[in-house]
Amino acid sequence: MSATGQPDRWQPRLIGRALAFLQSVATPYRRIIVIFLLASLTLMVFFPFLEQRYTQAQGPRPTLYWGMSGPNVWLVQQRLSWWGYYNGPLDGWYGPATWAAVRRFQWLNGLAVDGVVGPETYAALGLGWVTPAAQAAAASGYVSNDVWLLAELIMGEAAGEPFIGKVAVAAVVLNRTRNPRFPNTIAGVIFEPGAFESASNGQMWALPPTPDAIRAAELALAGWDPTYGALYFWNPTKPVSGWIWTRPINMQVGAHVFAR
Amino acid sequence: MTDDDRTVKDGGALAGDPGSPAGQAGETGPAAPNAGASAAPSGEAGRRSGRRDRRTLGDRLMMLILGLLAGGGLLWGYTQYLSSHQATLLLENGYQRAFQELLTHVETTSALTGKALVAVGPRQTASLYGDIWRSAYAAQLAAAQLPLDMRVQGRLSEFLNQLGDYASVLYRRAAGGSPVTAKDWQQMQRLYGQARSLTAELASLNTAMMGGRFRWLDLAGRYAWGGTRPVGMGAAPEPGPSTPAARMVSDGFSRLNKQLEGFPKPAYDGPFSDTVLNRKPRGLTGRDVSSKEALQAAQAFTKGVLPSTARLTVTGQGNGVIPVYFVTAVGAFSTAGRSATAPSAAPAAPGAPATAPTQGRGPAAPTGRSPAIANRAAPATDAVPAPGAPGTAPAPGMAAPNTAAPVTAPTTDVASNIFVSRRGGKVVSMVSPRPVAAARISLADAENRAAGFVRSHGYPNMVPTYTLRRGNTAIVTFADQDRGVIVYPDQVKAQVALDNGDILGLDAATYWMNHHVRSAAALVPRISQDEARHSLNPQLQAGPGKLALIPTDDGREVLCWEFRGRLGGTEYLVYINADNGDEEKILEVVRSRDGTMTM
Repeated sequence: MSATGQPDRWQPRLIGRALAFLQSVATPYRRIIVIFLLASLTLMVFFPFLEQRYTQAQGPRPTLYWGMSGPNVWLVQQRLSWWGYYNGPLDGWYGPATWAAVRRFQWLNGLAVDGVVGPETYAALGLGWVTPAAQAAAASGYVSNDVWLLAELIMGEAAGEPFIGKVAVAAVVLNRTRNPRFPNTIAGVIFEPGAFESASNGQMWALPPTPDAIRAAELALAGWDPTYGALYFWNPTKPVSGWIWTRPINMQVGAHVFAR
Repeated sequence: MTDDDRTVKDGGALAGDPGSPAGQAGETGPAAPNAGASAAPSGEAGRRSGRRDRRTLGDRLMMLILGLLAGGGLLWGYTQYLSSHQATLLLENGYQRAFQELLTHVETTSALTGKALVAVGPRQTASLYGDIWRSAYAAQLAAAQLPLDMRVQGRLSEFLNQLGDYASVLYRRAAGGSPVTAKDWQQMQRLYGQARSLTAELASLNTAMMGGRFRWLDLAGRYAWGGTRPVGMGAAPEPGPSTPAARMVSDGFSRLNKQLEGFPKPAYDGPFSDTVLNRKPRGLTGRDVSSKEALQAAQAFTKGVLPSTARLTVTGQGNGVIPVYFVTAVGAFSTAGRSATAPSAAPAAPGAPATAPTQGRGPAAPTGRSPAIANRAAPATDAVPAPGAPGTAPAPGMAAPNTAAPVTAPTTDVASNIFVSRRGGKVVSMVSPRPVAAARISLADAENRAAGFVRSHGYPNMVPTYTLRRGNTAIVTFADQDRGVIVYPDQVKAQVALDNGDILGLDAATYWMNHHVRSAAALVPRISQDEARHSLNPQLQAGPGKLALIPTDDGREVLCWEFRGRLGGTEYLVYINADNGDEEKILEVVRSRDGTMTM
């Protein structure tokens, strides 16, 4: 505007005014106020989305198509790559390679070949339209809320750990249920105040459990315990209170130390 | 924007006659009616900086928007405050309730323990110990909800848990007609004294809290940010309680903990007793093996199970209940199933909805579709014939889709783990996380494969007891058979991949914890099957019985007659003590399309 002298022909009026105003608030004091106001506006707009992130795990899965991105795309890519339909990177972006893989999958599985991941395709991929574990529980008739809870905890505490580290974390929960120093149920152990960081800060609900986490939870529930009786685990590279180091250490699995 | 090149367009832009002092703009300028309140301070600021006031309509609009934003921000902040206040109250009330319930139940437990010491008759004794068990459990539930330091929490929970557990043992004994022994009475008397001092301590804490300044959230506040807490454990984090009142209560609990730590633990046999918790593996005997021997044992064990290219290394040691060497095997699996069985093997759940049994578990491909389609669903099936699976059979009807869309075999390096016991060098467990493709073999097939595997890998007499489908894998549980008796404590589990029948995992920890050579007397029943049958409920339609050795909660083994029967459409397993005809245990058999389990 100021550079050409005749900007308003091509610049929308309000934006021009806004730019002009921002330029006119020259003093740092006023700029700070403006920035503060804009920041609070941003916060107001995005706060509900931040909250939604934690509840997303319960809702239906969004229909996926070309151009989308996110954890659901990642899950679909993972499935497709396991079964050999997809060779691209697991980047969570629904690009041409993912699109082609989805179409191939649909064609070979007798689904409508549209390159869109809707309820049918999700189901054929083994990804429930509702949450996978909830659907599995509904489908199989026995109570698997334990699997579900353990898998969520694994996602919060050991999502980046090797598979054996995931089993180990779930096994610690089960060992605690059998120990007099802890509550006797899985939910009791997981939600004991301050017992698990990811339960305290909500991280365990941030992502739906991956098939790996569910498989690890099932293995631990079936009796596998790679820790051989551990009750505590922590990451030795992070600051922890001194008391915990007095516990007899069983072993280290991945990034975690396991102790009795 | 600079002063000079400013173009005057709207009426509002006429504000601030160049000559006049800016201060007059509010009164005389044409902008005055439009400017509103926001223009005046800006005008003053403009005068102070020696510049002319030139507020345009657009500027005023911006001020209006910013003002609205500020107002909105305030409103938003207020609603945030309200909702956080609400949440705080809810949480505080929950903590209050938990503490008050803890106090009530501890008081009740203590009083009941006193009464149980007085009682002599079996009816009164049994009823009182039953009540102690119940109220101690309720107290423990309440305690677990309090935001206490994990050490205090742990010891408090342990005291209540063991008191309740001990009471339940005495309750069962009294219900069976046997009196409380002198040793048990003395231990209970000691526990009574401990429960009384616990009650007194909690009651004095309660009095201190009633002063009104204390909030549980101040004690719990250190958890609020979460980030400072170490993962998965509950040691006291560094920043302590935030108010003097909270500090006082926190100190009170520390005192309580010190007191509890001084209490000797009761010696008894129950699932939560120290004697049961500190059991050592009975089955592992002999000398300690070196890590090299452990590696050899793992190699021998995994031959034909893991890909022959897998590289095995000893990556660590564990000092748990069973001290182990940690062997890691890294090898490439073909992720798409190699068809070791005939491709026409029935899907595990015929007649089930196409994908229902596998929702969200393992990688579920379209089960229940025709085998040909199921095969085509994994185009890479035999692109790389994996070692160790000789029966690789190219599935018919694959050529077309493969040539149309050539896909290279997705192979991934998978790290499997094998745990070899230090004593005796036995493979105690194995876990392989390789992805499993769509299920193609039935649960019955999986059971046979698992049976073949465990029998040829050091457990020759194993009989399958139940099989469960988990995702695209099956977990088969086996029990040892010794001189015609099923020995349930000697338990081994195997995990089978349902895409090709590979063995993915083994868990023999229970076996090695319990296995020992049983005396002949332990396996011979004193009463016959027909005599045992008299102990059954006549309503139960029971089939033939068989002898089984079953584990009890307190770590003993009891020889029983096992009867499978039906009552009202539900299937049960009833265990009758083969020495005295008592009912030892009743299990419900749950059959689903994911297999059979007992509860």
